[in-house]
Amino acid sequence: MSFLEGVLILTGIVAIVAQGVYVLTGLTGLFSLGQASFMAVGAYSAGIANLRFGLGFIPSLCVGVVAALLASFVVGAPSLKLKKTYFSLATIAFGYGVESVLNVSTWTGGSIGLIGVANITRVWHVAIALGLVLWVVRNFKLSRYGRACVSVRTDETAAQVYGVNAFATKQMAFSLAAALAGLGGGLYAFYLGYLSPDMFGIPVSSEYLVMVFFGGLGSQTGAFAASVLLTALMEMLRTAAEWRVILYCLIILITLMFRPTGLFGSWELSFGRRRNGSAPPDSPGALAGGARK
Amino acid sequence: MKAAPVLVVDNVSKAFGGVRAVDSLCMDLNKGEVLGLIGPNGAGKTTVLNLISSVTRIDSGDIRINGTSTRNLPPHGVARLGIARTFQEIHLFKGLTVLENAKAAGHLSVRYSLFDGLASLPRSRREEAKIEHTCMDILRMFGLHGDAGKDASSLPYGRQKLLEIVKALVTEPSILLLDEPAAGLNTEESNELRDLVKEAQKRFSLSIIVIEHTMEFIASISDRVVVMNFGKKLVEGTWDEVRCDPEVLRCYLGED
Repeated sequence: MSFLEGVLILTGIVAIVAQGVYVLTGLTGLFSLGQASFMAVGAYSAGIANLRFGLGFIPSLCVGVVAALLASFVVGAPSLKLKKTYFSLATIAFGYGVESVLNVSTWTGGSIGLIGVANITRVWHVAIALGLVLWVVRNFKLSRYGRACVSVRTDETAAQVYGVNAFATKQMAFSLAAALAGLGGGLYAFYLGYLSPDMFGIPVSSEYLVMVFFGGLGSQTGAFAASVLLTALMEMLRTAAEWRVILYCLIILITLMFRPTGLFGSWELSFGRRRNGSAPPDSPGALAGGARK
Repeated sequence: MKAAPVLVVDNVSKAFGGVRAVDSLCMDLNKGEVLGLIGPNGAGKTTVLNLISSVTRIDSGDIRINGTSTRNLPPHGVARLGIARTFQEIHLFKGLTVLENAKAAGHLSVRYSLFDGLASLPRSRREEAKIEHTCMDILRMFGLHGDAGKDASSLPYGRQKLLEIVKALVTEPSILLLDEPAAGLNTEESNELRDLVKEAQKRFSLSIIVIEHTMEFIASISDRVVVMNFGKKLVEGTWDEVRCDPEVLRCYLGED
Protein backbone atom coordinates (compact mmCIF):
# COMPACT_ATOMS: atom_id res chain seq x y z
CA MET A 1 0.00 0.00 0.00
CA SER A 2 1.41 3.36 -0.95
CA PHE A 3 1.99 6.21 1.50
CA LEU A 4 -0.74 8.26 -0.16
CA GLU A 5 -3.27 5.45 0.21
CA GLY A 6 -2.39 5.18 3.87
CA VAL A 7 -2.92 8.91 4.39
CA LEU A 8 -6.26 8.81 2.57
CA ILE A 9 -7.51 5.86 4.64
CA LEU A 10 -6.44 7.42 7.91
CA THR A 11 -7.95 10.77 6.98
CA GLY A 12 -11.23 9.15 6.05
CA ILE A 13 -11.38 7.24 9.33
CA VAL A 14 -10.68 10.36 11.36
CA ALA A 15 -13.34 12.24 9.39
CA ILE A 16 -15.90 9.53 10.22
CA VAL A 17 -15.16 9.71 13.96
CA ALA A 18 -15.16 13.53 13.83
CA GLN A 19 -18.69 13.50 12.39
CA GLY A 20 -19.79 11.73 15.55
CA VAL A 21 -18.08 14.37 17.67
CA TYR A 22 -19.90 17.01 15.63
CA VAL A 23 -23.26 15.41 16.52
CA LEU A 24 -22.35 15.13 20.19
CA THR A 25 -20.55 18.41 20.78
CA GLY A 26 -21.67 20.65 17.92
CA LEU A 27 -25.36 19.78 17.92
CA THR A 28 -25.99 18.57 21.46
CA GLY A 29 -23.37 20.54 23.41
CA LEU A 30 -21.89 17.57 25.27
CA PHE A 31 -18.15 17.17 25.67
CA SER A 32 -16.79 13.65 25.60
CA LEU A 33 -13.18 12.76 26.23
CA GLY A 34 -13.91 9.14 25.46
CA GLN A 35 -14.44 9.14 21.70
CA ALA A 36 -11.07 7.47 21.05
CA SER A 37 -12.02 4.85 23.63
CA PHE A 38 -15.18 4.07 21.68
CA MET A 39 -12.89 3.72 18.68
CA ALA A 40 -10.87 1.26 20.76
CA VAL A 41 -14.00 -0.70 21.66
CA GLY A 42 -14.96 -0.84 17.98
CA ALA A 43 -11.44 -1.67 16.81
CA TYR A 44 -10.77 -4.41 19.34
CA SER A 45 -14.24 -5.94 18.99
CA ALA A 46 -13.93 -6.04 15.22
CA GLY A 47 -10.36 -7.32 15.46
CA ILE A 48 -11.25 -10.06 17.93
CA ALA A 49 -14.31 -11.05 15.90
CA ASN A 50 -12.02 -11.51 12.93
CA LEU A 51 -9.06 -13.06 14.69
CA ARG A 52 -10.69 -15.31 17.26
CA PHE A 53 -14.07 -16.05 15.69
CA GLY A 54 -13.10 -15.93 12.04
CA LEU A 55 -15.80 -13.42 11.04
CA GLY A 56 -15.42 -11.61 7.72
CA PHE A 57 -14.75 -7.91 7.13
CA ILE A 58 -18.31 -6.52 7.11
CA PRO A 59 -19.67 -8.73 9.94
CA SER A 60 -16.66 -7.80 12.08
CA LEU A 61 -17.26 -4.10 11.42
CA CYS A 62 -20.87 -4.60 12.52
CA VAL A 63 -19.67 -6.29 15.72
CA GLY A 64 -17.45 -3.26 16.37
CA VAL A 65 -20.32 -0.80 15.87
CA VAL A 66 -22.68 -2.78 18.10
CA ALA A 67 -20.04 -3.09 20.83
CA ALA A 68 -19.46 0.68 20.78
CA LEU A 69 -23.23 1.26 20.91
CA LEU A 70 -23.58 -1.00 23.94
CA ALA A 71 -20.69 0.76 25.67
CA SER A 72 -22.36 4.13 25.03
CA PHE A 73 -25.44 2.96 26.95
CA VAL A 74 -23.32 1.70 29.83
CA VAL A 75 -21.53 5.07 30.10
CA GLY A 76 -24.51 7.26 29.21
CA ALA A 77 -27.30 5.76 31.31
CA PRO A 78 -25.87 6.75 34.69
CA SER A 79 -24.12 9.97 33.66
CA LEU A 80 -26.40 11.74 31.18
CA LYS A 81 -29.05 12.54 33.78
CA LEU A 82 -26.45 14.51 35.74
CA LYS A 83 -25.03 17.90 34.84
CA LYS A 84 -23.01 18.05 31.65
CA THR A 85 -19.76 18.35 33.60
CA TYR A 86 -20.33 14.98 35.28
CA PHE A 87 -21.00 13.40 31.94
CA SER A 88 -17.63 14.65 30.72
CA LEU A 89 -15.99 13.22 33.83
CA ALA A 90 -17.69 9.88 33.21
CA THR A 91 -16.24 9.78 29.69
CA ILE A 92 -12.76 10.42 31.10
CA ALA A 93 -13.25 7.57 33.55
CA PHE A 94 -14.40 5.41 30.65
CA GLY A 95 -11.27 6.38 28.70
CA TYR A 96 -8.94 5.31 31.52
CA GLY A 97 -11.03 2.20 32.17
CA VAL A 98 -10.83 1.00 28.57
CA GLU A 99 -7.09 1.61 28.44
CA SER A 100 -6.49 -0.31 31.69
CA VAL A 101 -8.62 -3.25 30.63
CA LEU A 102 -6.86 -3.45 27.28
CA ASN A 103 -3.49 -3.32 29.01
CA VAL A 104 -4.12 -6.19 31.41
CA SER A 105 -6.42 -8.49 29.47
CA THR A 106 -4.56 -11.35 27.82
CA TRP A 107 -7.51 -11.84 25.52
CA THR A 108 -6.88 -8.50 23.83
CA GLY A 109 -3.13 -9.08 23.75
CA GLY A 110 -2.33 -6.91 26.78
CA SER A 111 0.02 -4.00 26.38
CA ILE A 112 1.67 -5.63 23.36
CA GLY A 113 -1.59 -5.42 21.53
CA LEU A 114 -3.72 -7.45 19.21
CA ILE A 115 -1.62 -8.75 16.34
CA GLY A 116 -2.64 -10.44 13.14
CA VAL A 117 -5.95 -8.85 12.15
CA ALA A 118 -6.52 -9.25 8.43
CA ASN A 119 -5.29 -6.38 6.28
CA ILE A 120 -8.43 -5.56 4.35
CA THR A 121 -9.40 -1.87 4.51
CA ARG A 122 -8.83 -0.07 1.22
CA VAL A 123 -9.43 3.51 0.18
CA TRP A 124 -12.73 2.73 -1.52
CA HIS A 125 -14.10 1.06 1.62
CA VAL A 126 -13.38 4.18 3.63
CA ALA A 127 -14.70 6.44 0.88
CA ILE A 128 -18.04 4.61 0.78
CA ALA A 129 -18.31 4.56 4.57
CA LEU A 130 -17.46 8.26 4.83
CA GLY A 131 -19.94 9.22 2.09
CA LEU A 132 -22.67 7.30 3.86
CA VAL A 133 -21.79 8.83 7.24
CA LEU A 134 -21.80 12.39 5.86
CA TRP A 135 -25.21 11.79 4.30
CA VAL A 136 -26.68 10.23 7.44
CA VAL A 137 -25.35 12.95 9.73
CA ARG A 138 -26.71 15.64 7.39
CA ASN A 139 -30.12 13.97 7.49
CA PHE A 140 -29.91 13.69 11.25
CA LYS A 141 -29.14 17.38 11.60
CA LEU A 142 -32.16 18.37 9.53
CA SER A 143 -34.53 15.89 11.20
CA ARG A 144 -36.72 16.38 14.27
CA TYR A 145 -34.07 14.47 16.23
CA GLY A 146 -31.34 16.89 15.19
CA ARG A 147 -33.55 19.82 16.19
CA ALA A 148 -34.19 18.12 19.54
CA CYS A 149 -30.41 17.96 20.08
CA VAL A 150 -30.03 21.65 19.29
CA SER A 151 -32.92 22.62 21.56
CA VAL A 152 -31.49 20.59 24.44
CA ARG A 153 -28.16 22.33 23.92
CA THR A 154 -29.52 25.86 23.83
CA ASP A 155 -32.28 25.66 26.47
CA GLU A 156 -32.89 22.35 28.15
CA THR A 157 -35.86 23.52 30.24
CA ALA A 158 -37.67 24.96 27.25
CA ALA A 159 -36.89 21.85 25.19
CA GLN A 160 -38.54 19.65 27.82
CA VAL A 161 -41.59 21.85 27.97
CA TYR A 162 -42.01 21.32 24.22
CA GLY A 163 -42.03 17.57 24.85
CA VAL A 164 -38.38 16.74 24.18
CA ASN A 165 -37.05 13.97 26.42
CA ALA A 166 -33.69 15.57 27.22
CA PHE A 167 -32.09 12.43 28.61
CA ALA A 168 -33.14 10.25 25.68
CA THR A 169 -32.00 12.93 23.23
CA LYS A 170 -28.54 13.14 24.80
CA GLN A 171 -28.28 9.36 24.88
CA MET A 172 -29.24 9.20 21.21
CA ALA A 173 -26.55 11.73 20.24
CA PHE A 174 -23.99 9.97 22.41
CA SER A 175 -24.82 6.57 20.94
CA LEU A 176 -24.73 7.88 17.38
CA ALA A 177 -21.30 9.38 18.08
CA ALA A 178 -20.14 6.12 19.67
CA ALA A 179 -21.40 4.07 16.72
CA LEU A 180 -19.46 6.26 14.30
CA ALA A 181 -16.35 5.97 16.50
CA GLY A 182 -16.87 2.19 16.54
CA LEU A 183 -17.12 2.12 12.75
CA GLY A 184 -13.96 4.21 12.46
CA GLY A 185 -12.22 1.90 14.93
CA GLY A 186 -13.21 -1.20 12.99
CA LEU A 187 -11.90 0.21 9.72
CA TYR A 188 -8.73 1.19 11.55
CA ALA A 189 -8.22 -2.34 12.87
CA PHE A 190 -8.51 -3.80 9.39
CA TYR A 191 -6.21 -1.14 8.00
CA LEU A 192 -3.30 -1.48 10.43
CA GLY A 193 -3.65 -5.19 11.13
CA TYR A 194 -2.57 -4.72 14.73
CA LEU A 195 -3.88 -2.73 17.69
CA SER A 196 -2.33 -1.51 20.89
CA PRO A 197 -3.96 0.24 23.88
CA ASP A 198 -1.90 3.42 23.58
CA MET A 199 -3.40 4.23 20.16
CA PHE A 200 -6.66 5.27 21.80
CA GLY A 201 -5.85 7.38 24.85
CA ILE A 202 -7.52 10.52 26.10
CA PRO A 203 -5.09 12.76 24.16
CA VAL A 204 -6.48 11.24 20.97
CA SER A 205 -10.05 11.95 22.15
CA SER A 206 -9.15 15.56 22.81
CA GLU A 207 -7.69 15.88 19.32
CA TYR A 208 -11.16 15.13 17.96
CA LEU A 209 -12.62 17.90 20.09
CA VAL A 210 -9.98 20.28 18.77
CA MET A 211 -10.82 19.36 15.18
CA VAL A 212 -14.54 19.97 15.54
CA PHE A 213 -13.92 23.15 17.49
CA PHE A 214 -11.47 24.37 14.86
CA GLY A 215 -13.91 23.65 12.04
CA GLY A 216 -16.74 25.45 13.81
CA LEU A 217 -19.05 23.78 16.32
CA GLY A 218 -22.13 24.75 14.32
CA SER A 219 -21.00 23.35 11.01
CA GLN A 220 -20.95 19.78 9.72
CA THR A 221 -18.92 20.97 6.76
CA GLY A 222 -16.47 22.53 9.20
CA ALA A 223 -16.06 19.29 11.16
CA PHE A 224 -15.37 17.45 7.92
CA ALA A 225 -12.96 20.04 6.50
CA ALA A 226 -11.03 20.42 9.75
CA SER A 227 -10.65 16.70 10.29
CA VAL A 228 -9.36 16.21 6.76
CA LEU A 229 -7.08 19.22 6.90
CA LEU A 230 -5.52 18.47 10.28
CA THR A 231 -5.10 14.73 9.71
CA ALA A 232 -3.50 15.20 6.34
CA LEU A 233 -1.23 17.88 7.80
CA MET A 234 -0.21 15.63 10.68
CA GLU A 235 0.54 12.73 8.37
CA MET A 236 2.73 14.97 6.25
CA LEU A 237 4.60 16.01 9.39
CA ARG A 238 4.97 12.45 10.68
CA THR A 239 8.67 12.94 11.44
CA ALA A 240 7.89 15.76 13.88
CA ALA A 241 5.26 13.76 15.76
CA GLU A 242 6.19 15.18 19.14
CA TRP A 243 5.19 18.65 17.91
CA ARG A 244 1.66 17.43 17.38
CA VAL A 245 0.37 18.41 20.82
CA ILE A 246 2.00 21.84 20.67
CA LEU A 247 0.52 22.43 17.23
CA TYR A 248 -2.95 21.51 18.47
CA CYS A 249 -2.60 23.89 21.41
CA LEU A 250 -1.58 26.65 19.03
CA ILE A 251 -4.57 25.91 16.82
CA ILE A 252 -6.95 26.30 19.77
CA LEU A 253 -5.33 29.53 20.90
CA ILE A 254 -5.31 31.06 17.43
CA THR A 255 -8.90 29.99 16.79
CA LEU A 256 -10.06 31.45 20.10
CA MET A 257 -8.26 34.71 19.44
CA PHE A 258 -9.14 35.34 15.83
CA ARG A 259 -12.17 33.24 14.96
CA PRO A 260 -14.00 32.00 18.06
CA THR A 261 -16.81 30.50 16.01
CA GLY A 262 -14.33 28.24 14.23
CA LEU A 263 -13.27 28.16 10.61
CA PHE A 264 -16.76 27.73 9.20
CA GLY A 265 -18.97 29.16 11.96
CA SER A 266 -22.37 27.79 11.08
CA TRP A 267 -21.87 27.86 7.34
CA GLU A 268 -22.78 24.70 5.45
CA LEU A 269 -21.89 23.57 1.98
CA SER A 270 -25.11 23.04 0.06
CA PHE A 271 -25.99 21.45 -3.23
CA GLY A 272 -28.81 23.53 -4.66
CA ARG A 273 -31.39 22.60 -2.09
CA ARG A 274 -31.99 25.06 0.73
CA ARG A 275 -30.18 24.14 3.86
CA ASN A 276 -30.84 25.81 7.12
CA GLY A 277 -27.75 25.81 9.21
CA SER A 278 -28.10 26.24 12.93
CA ALA A 279 -25.80 28.89 14.26
CA PRO A 280 -22.98 27.68 16.47
CA PRO A 281 -23.32 27.41 20.20
CA ASP A 282 -22.34 30.89 21.33
CA SER A 283 -18.60 30.36 21.15
CA PRO A 284 -16.11 31.09 22.58
CA GLY A 285 -18.20 30.48 25.66
CA ALA A 286 -19.11 27.17 24.05
CA LEU A 287 -16.23 25.27 25.60
CA ALA A 288 -17.07 26.68 29.00
CA GLY A 289 -20.75 26.26 28.19
CA GLY A 290 -20.34 22.52 28.31
CA ALA A 291 -19.58 22.82 31.98
CA ARG A 292 -22.58 24.99 32.60
CA LYS A 293 -25.89 23.25 33.13
CA MET B 1 -74.77 19.12 34.23
CA LYS B 2 -71.38 20.81 34.22
CA ALA B 3 -68.57 19.11 32.29
CA ALA B 4 -65.54 17.93 34.26
CA PRO B 5 -62.72 20.50 34.38
CA VAL B 6 -59.76 19.87 32.03
CA LEU B 7 -57.26 20.75 34.72
CA VAL B 8 -57.61 20.18 38.45
CA VAL B 9 -55.15 21.53 41.00
CA ASP B 10 -56.01 19.49 44.07
CA ASN B 11 -54.73 20.73 47.44
CA VAL B 12 -51.20 21.33 46.11
CA SER B 13 -48.35 22.56 48.29
CA LYS B 14 -44.76 23.42 47.50
CA ALA B 15 -42.10 24.81 49.82
CA PHE B 16 -38.66 26.14 48.96
CA GLY B 17 -36.68 25.77 52.17
CA GLY B 18 -38.87 27.47 54.76
CA VAL B 19 -40.94 29.45 52.27
CA ARG B 20 -44.33 27.98 51.44
CA ALA B 21 -44.49 29.15 47.84
CA VAL B 22 -47.78 27.38 47.20
CA ASP B 23 -49.93 26.41 50.16
CA SER B 24 -52.84 23.94 49.88
CA LEU B 25 -54.01 25.43 46.60
CA CYS B 26 -57.16 24.16 44.92
CA MET B 27 -58.34 25.42 41.57
CA ASP B 28 -59.97 24.15 38.37
CA LEU B 29 -59.72 25.13 34.75
CA ASN B 30 -62.85 24.48 32.71
CA LYS B 31 -62.85 23.62 29.04
CA GLY B 32 -62.64 26.63 26.79
CA GLU B 33 -62.23 29.18 29.57
CA VAL B 34 -59.60 31.82 30.19
CA LEU B 35 -58.55 31.86 33.82
CA GLY B 36 -56.64 34.91 35.04
CA LEU B 37 -54.15 34.25 37.83
CA ILE B 38 -53.23 37.43 39.69
CA GLY B 39 -51.67 38.47 42.94
CA PRO B 40 -48.84 40.60 44.32
CA ASN B 41 -45.22 39.75 43.52
CA GLY B 42 -44.09 36.60 45.27
CA ALA B 43 -47.62 35.27 45.64
CA GLY B 44 -46.59 31.99 44.00
CA LYS B 45 -48.25 32.42 40.61
CA THR B 46 -45.27 31.37 38.50
CA THR B 47 -44.64 28.46 40.86
CA VAL B 48 -48.17 27.25 40.10
CA LEU B 49 -47.40 27.20 36.36
CA ASN B 50 -44.08 25.46 37.07
CA LEU B 51 -45.89 22.83 39.12
CA ILE B 52 -48.53 22.28 36.45
CA SER B 53 -45.88 21.83 33.75
CA SER B 54 -43.75 19.65 36.09
CA VAL B 55 -40.75 21.97 35.72
CA THR B 56 -40.95 21.97 39.53
CA ARG B 57 -42.08 18.89 41.48
CA ILE B 58 -45.00 19.21 43.88
CA ASP B 59 -44.52 18.38 47.57
CA SER B 60 -48.05 17.23 48.31
CA GLY B 61 -51.44 17.18 46.65
CA ASP B 62 -52.14 16.26 43.06
CA ILE B 63 -52.57 17.83 39.64
CA ARG B 64 -54.79 16.10 37.11
CA ILE B 65 -55.04 16.87 33.42
CA ASN B 66 -58.19 15.38 31.89
CA GLY B 67 -58.16 12.89 34.75
CA THR B 68 -54.49 11.91 34.43
CA SER B 69 -52.28 12.65 37.42
CA THR B 70 -49.04 14.44 36.57
CA ARG B 71 -47.38 13.69 39.91
CA ASN B 72 -44.75 11.37 38.52
CA LEU B 73 -44.48 12.80 35.04
CA PRO B 74 -41.37 14.64 33.77
CA PRO B 75 -41.97 17.94 31.91
CA HIS B 76 -41.88 16.24 28.51
CA GLY B 77 -44.50 13.78 29.75
CA VAL B 78 -46.80 16.63 30.75
CA ALA B 79 -46.28 18.20 27.32
CA ARG B 80 -47.59 14.97 25.81
CA LEU B 81 -50.86 15.50 27.71
CA GLY B 82 -51.45 18.63 25.66
CA ILE B 83 -50.04 21.31 27.96
CA ALA B 84 -48.01 24.14 26.49
CA ARG B 85 -46.57 27.14 28.28
CA THR B 86 -44.54 30.27 27.87
CA PHE B 87 -42.04 31.61 30.36
CA GLN B 88 -41.85 34.98 32.02
CA GLU B 89 -38.42 35.54 30.54
CA ILE B 90 -37.61 34.77 26.90
CA HIS B 91 -36.64 31.13 26.30
CA LEU B 92 -35.92 31.10 22.57
CA PHE B 93 -33.45 28.65 21.04
CA LYS B 94 -30.57 31.01 20.37
CA GLY B 95 -28.87 30.83 17.01
CA LEU B 96 -31.86 29.25 15.29
CA THR B 97 -34.04 31.17 12.88
CA VAL B 98 -37.64 32.07 13.68
CA LEU B 99 -38.95 29.17 11.58
CA GLU B 100 -36.44 26.71 13.05
CA ASN B 101 -37.47 27.79 16.54
CA ALA B 102 -41.07 27.04 15.71
CA LYS B 103 -40.19 23.70 14.12
CA ALA B 104 -38.06 22.72 17.12
CA ALA B 105 -41.01 23.46 19.40
CA GLY B 106 -43.19 21.24 17.22
CA HIS B 107 -41.18 18.18 18.26
CA LEU B 108 -44.29 16.20 19.28
CA SER B 109 -46.33 17.15 16.22
CA VAL B 110 -43.79 15.58 13.87
CA ARG B 111 -44.00 11.82 13.82
CA TYR B 112 -41.36 9.64 12.22
CA SER B 113 -38.77 7.22 13.51
CA LEU B 114 -35.06 7.87 13.94
CA PHE B 115 -34.42 5.53 11.04
CA ASP B 116 -36.80 7.50 8.78
CA GLY B 117 -34.86 10.63 9.73
CA LEU B 118 -31.36 9.20 9.29
CA ALA B 119 -32.16 7.86 5.82
CA SER B 120 -34.37 10.82 4.89
CA LEU B 121 -37.17 8.44 3.86
CA PRO B 122 -40.37 9.78 2.25
CA ARG B 123 -42.25 9.62 5.55
CA SER B 124 -39.82 12.02 7.21
CA ARG B 125 -39.87 14.40 4.23
CA ARG B 126 -43.66 14.40 4.25
CA GLU B 127 -43.80 15.13 7.97
CA GLU B 128 -41.14 17.85 7.66
CA ALA B 129 -43.14 19.54 4.91
CA LYS B 130 -46.24 19.32 7.08
CA ILE B 131 -44.66 20.87 10.18
CA GLU B 132 -43.13 23.63 8.09
CA HIS B 133 -46.58 24.39 6.71
CA THR B 134 -48.14 24.40 10.19
CA CYS B 135 -45.41 26.65 11.55
CA MET B 136 -45.70 29.14 8.68
CA ASP B 137 -49.44 29.18 9.15
CA ILE B 138 -49.23 30.10 12.84
CA LEU B 139 -46.36 32.53 12.20
CA ARG B 140 -48.60 34.25 9.64
CA MET B 141 -51.41 34.48 12.16
CA PHE B 142 -49.03 36.34 14.48
CA GLY B 143 -47.57 38.46 11.68
CA LEU B 144 -44.16 36.84 11.96
CA HIS B 145 -44.05 35.02 8.63
CA GLY B 146 -41.94 37.78 7.10
CA ASP B 147 -39.27 37.14 9.74
CA ALA B 148 -39.24 33.35 9.27
CA GLY B 149 -35.66 33.27 7.99
CA LYS B 150 -34.27 35.75 10.50
CA ASP B 151 -32.21 34.83 13.53
CA ALA B 152 -34.81 34.66 16.32
CA SER B 153 -32.70 36.56 18.83
CA SER B 154 -32.39 39.48 16.39
CA LEU B 155 -36.13 40.21 16.66
CA PRO B 156 -37.31 43.11 18.81
CA TYR B 157 -38.50 42.14 22.30
CA GLY B 158 -42.21 42.33 21.57
CA ARG B 159 -41.91 40.04 18.58
CA GLN B 160 -39.79 37.58 20.55
CA LYS B 161 -42.65 37.40 23.04
CA LEU B 162 -45.07 36.67 20.19
CA LEU B 163 -42.74 33.98 18.88
CA GLU B 164 -42.84 32.31 22.30
CA ILE B 165 -46.61 32.03 21.99
CA VAL B 166 -46.32 30.75 18.43
CA LYS B 167 -43.95 28.06 19.69
CA ALA B 168 -46.40 27.04 22.39
CA LEU B 169 -49.20 26.81 19.79
CA VAL B 170 -47.12 24.70 17.40
CA THR B 171 -47.19 21.91 19.99
CA GLU B 172 -50.96 21.60 19.30
CA PRO B 173 -51.95 22.01 22.95
CA SER B 174 -55.38 21.84 24.52
CA ILE B 175 -54.27 23.83 27.56
CA LEU B 176 -52.08 26.92 27.30
CA LEU B 177 -50.27 28.51 30.26
CA LEU B 178 -49.09 32.09 29.73
CA ASP B 179 -46.72 33.67 32.24
CA GLU B 180 -46.90 37.46 31.93
CA PRO B 181 -47.23 37.55 28.15
CA ALA B 182 -47.73 41.33 28.10
CA ALA B 183 -44.87 42.24 30.45
CA GLY B 184 -42.66 44.85 28.82
CA LEU B 185 -45.12 45.58 26.02
CA ASN B 186 -46.72 48.98 25.48
CA THR B 187 -50.52 49.40 25.55
CA GLU B 188 -50.89 49.05 21.80
CA GLU B 189 -48.78 45.89 21.67
CA SER B 190 -50.56 44.56 24.70
CA ASN B 191 -53.98 45.03 23.07
CA GLU B 192 -52.76 43.38 19.89
CA LEU B 193 -51.49 40.46 21.92
CA ARG B 194 -54.81 40.13 23.73
CA ASP B 195 -56.70 39.96 20.44
CA LEU B 196 -54.26 37.36 19.10
CA VAL B 197 -54.62 35.20 22.19
CA LYS B 198 -58.40 35.40 21.93
CA GLU B 199 -58.24 34.47 18.25
CA ALA B 200 -55.92 31.55 18.96
CA GLN B 201 -58.19 30.38 21.75
CA LYS B 202 -61.17 30.24 19.42
CA ARG B 203 -59.28 28.70 16.53
CA PHE B 204 -57.56 25.95 18.51
CA SER B 205 -60.29 25.62 21.18
CA LEU B 206 -57.87 26.23 24.01
CA SER B 207 -58.32 26.45 27.74
CA ILE B 208 -55.94 29.11 29.05
CA ILE B 209 -54.40 30.13 32.36
CA VAL B 210 -52.79 33.56 32.15
CA ILE B 211 -50.67 35.38 34.73
CA GLU B 212 -50.55 39.13 34.20
CA HIS B 213 -49.92 42.28 36.18
CA THR B 214 -51.67 44.54 33.65
CA MET B 215 -55.18 44.59 35.03
CA GLU B 216 -56.74 45.88 31.79
CA PHE B 217 -55.37 42.77 30.12
CA ILE B 218 -56.82 40.46 32.79
CA ALA B 219 -60.12 42.32 32.86
CA SER B 220 -60.64 42.10 29.13
CA ILE B 221 -59.61 38.50 28.58
CA SER B 222 -60.53 36.46 31.67
CA ASP B 223 -63.75 34.54 32.15
CA ARG B 224 -62.74 33.94 35.72
CA VAL B 225 -59.99 35.21 38.01
CA VAL B 226 -58.11 33.55 40.86
CA VAL B 227 -56.32 35.89 43.26
CA MET B 228 -53.33 34.49 45.16
CA ASN B 229 -51.37 35.86 48.08
CA PHE B 230 -48.58 34.15 50.05
CA GLY B 231 -49.13 30.89 48.20
CA LYS B 232 -52.81 30.68 49.06
CA LYS B 233 -55.93 31.33 47.05
CA LEU B 234 -57.50 34.51 48.35
CA VAL B 235 -60.65 34.67 46.26
CA GLU B 236 -62.03 33.40 43.02
CA GLY B 237 -64.72 34.77 40.74
CA THR B 238 -65.37 36.99 37.76
CA TRP B 239 -63.24 40.10 37.41
CA ASP B 240 -66.06 42.33 38.60
CA GLU B 241 -66.54 40.18 41.68
CA VAL B 242 -62.91 40.00 42.74
CA ARG B 243 -61.91 43.59 42.05
CA CYS B 244 -64.25 44.91 44.74
CA ASP B 245 -63.40 42.20 47.25
CA PRO B 246 -62.05 43.82 50.44
CA GLU B 247 -59.43 41.06 50.89
CA VAL B 248 -58.06 41.71 47.41
CA LEU B 249 -57.97 45.43 47.94
CA ARG B 250 -56.13 44.89 51.20
CA CYS B 251 -53.45 42.66 49.68
CA TYR B 252 -52.85 45.06 46.81
CA LEU B 253 -53.16 48.35 48.65
CA GLY B 254 -52.13 47.31 52.16
CA GLU B 255 -53.99 47.75 55.46
CA ASP B 256 -56.04 50.91 55.74
